[in-house]
Amino acid sequence: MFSYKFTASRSKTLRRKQRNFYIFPTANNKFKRKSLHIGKGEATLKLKNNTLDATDYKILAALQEDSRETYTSIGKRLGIAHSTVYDRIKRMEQNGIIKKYTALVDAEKAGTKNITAIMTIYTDPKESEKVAEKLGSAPQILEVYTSLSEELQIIAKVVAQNQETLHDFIANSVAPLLGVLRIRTSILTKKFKETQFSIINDPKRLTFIKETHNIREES
Amino acid sequence: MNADTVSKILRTVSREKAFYFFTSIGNYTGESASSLKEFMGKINEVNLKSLEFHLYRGDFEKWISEVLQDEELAAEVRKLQKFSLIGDALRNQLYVTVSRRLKRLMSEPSPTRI
Repeated sequence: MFSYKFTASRSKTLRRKQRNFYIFPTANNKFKRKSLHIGKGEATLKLKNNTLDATDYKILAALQEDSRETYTSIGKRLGIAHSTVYDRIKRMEQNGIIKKYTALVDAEKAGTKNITAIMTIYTDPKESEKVAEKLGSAPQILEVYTSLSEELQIIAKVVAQNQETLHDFIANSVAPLLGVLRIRTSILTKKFKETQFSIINDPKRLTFIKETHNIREES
Repeated sequence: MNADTVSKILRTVSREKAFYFFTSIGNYTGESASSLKEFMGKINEVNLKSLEFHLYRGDFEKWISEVLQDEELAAEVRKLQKFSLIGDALRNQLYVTVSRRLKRLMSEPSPTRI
């Protein structure tokens, strides 16, 4: 179990700051003890127990649904005190499990007319890491992944104002990178789904997958 | 044409300023050229789609003009767009245009040429 300390005034401040957030799950649901930077100062936080328990997961699931939900509301739903919710969230923030709170913006409704594309970059294995790192530093690149396949590939999501700026960026900033062998780019036209990975396995989703699978088998 | 101009046009440019051959927006073929001589060689190697893509976007003339700084060749390549060439006819005509220019430049006296 964690050791908790409740501070009412800080709780209110943090509650106001709540937004959608990202969670960084680690192997076997464990996280390492480490030094953390809090604001301008530095503090070391050590957990008595280095695993998340069921309550932590329920809190994370609640925040993933709506990160602006108050500690009181989450506490009521889970049958625990709001101070417990606060302390657990605070600890998960300090340990980097909750990475940040942010707003999911519908770019179309916000009036931006950017285009998004997926680049598959075939690379020389020796240079692959460097290529991925350089891509990651470009503001146009939203996500970068390496892929396990016959040929070593880097997959990156890129945003640009229009097709011309997309082409210019790829021709002037990606193709010249040492180790880039060739590039395939697909411009995305319509979004059917976008969601964050939920750390809780939703049984309903599993049922949906099973049902879909059965239908395909029968047909 | 003075020797400095000729050697400037015939120089090998950095990786960042090389010409990268694409077949369409964002689809890089893996072929690039860092000098006029290399560019001429690539004309016979790259996919025809790539030649058509770049010629009609004006990419060849832009690179020849801005990077190699050969306005004469850039103007000749620009003229090719008017003929609406496609396929092997485009490849052949582009090759002839570039090789003719290269031959002229190579025949210019230039003690500094590499």
